[in-house]
Amino acid sequence: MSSEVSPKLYKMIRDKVLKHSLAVQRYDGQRYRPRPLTDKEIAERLDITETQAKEIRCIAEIDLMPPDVWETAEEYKEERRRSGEA
Amino acid sequence: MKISSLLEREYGHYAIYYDAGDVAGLSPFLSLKLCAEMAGLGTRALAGGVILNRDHGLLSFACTITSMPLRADGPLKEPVCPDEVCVKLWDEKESTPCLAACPKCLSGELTEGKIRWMEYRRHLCVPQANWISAFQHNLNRILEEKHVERRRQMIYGSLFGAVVKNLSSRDSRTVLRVSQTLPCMCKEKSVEA
Repeated sequence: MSSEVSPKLYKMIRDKVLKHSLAVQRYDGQRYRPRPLTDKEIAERLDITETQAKEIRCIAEIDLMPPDVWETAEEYKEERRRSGEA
Repeated sequence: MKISSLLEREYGHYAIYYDAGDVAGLSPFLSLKLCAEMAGLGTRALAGGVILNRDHGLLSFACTITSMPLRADGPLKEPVCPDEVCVKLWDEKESTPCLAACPKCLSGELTEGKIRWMEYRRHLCVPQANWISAFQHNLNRILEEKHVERRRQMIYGSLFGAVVKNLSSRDSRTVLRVSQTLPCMCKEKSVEA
């Protein structure tokens, strides 16, 4: 854990940080709504520093992935490759 | 890189090549997709908002930032996505090849032949294509393992081996394996296995 972010703070706001970031992008056919925020904008909205927002986002981007996701992805891709689809 | 060099050497303007590096985590300094969209090279697709070109489908983009005054073409007026084939599929099955290929990462809807909405969950898509985060994630799992023999097996095992191999190589097979949505976005199937 980065010295900039306490474990308590991380657990408390990681979902909110990801929600405002580019992690989930919703497009309505013309533009992205709501517009994903920069680290600076997230920091202002959640009343933390920009460095904290950046660190929490970087950690959460990996931390919140399901633990078996790579195995599943690898098996799926291998299957697709064998079947000649990719 | 060659274009940057040409602009400086032949035309006397400053130019720098931008290789889409990340500023931190998964956020880029500059969105090449946005640049490509604004330059009229394509429009956003149902498949995670990637830019599809009308003639060539999915492309990889590179960017040169320059002081040379250039007139922008501007965004295309008509969307490239969805393709007619996808519209037909949607009318029949309420699905498209990209949505079917990546149900975890993608969801969306077509209405009257156009994208009504699309949601791209990037953090779930990353494991399909990005092995750097896989390395970090699996390294942490290995460090957490207290049993020495089990830890050794995790390090020598097929998954971590594949992760490390993918970090160090970018051969055509790797590209195919990380690009499972490639076929549905290629206008011409020119990629060889």
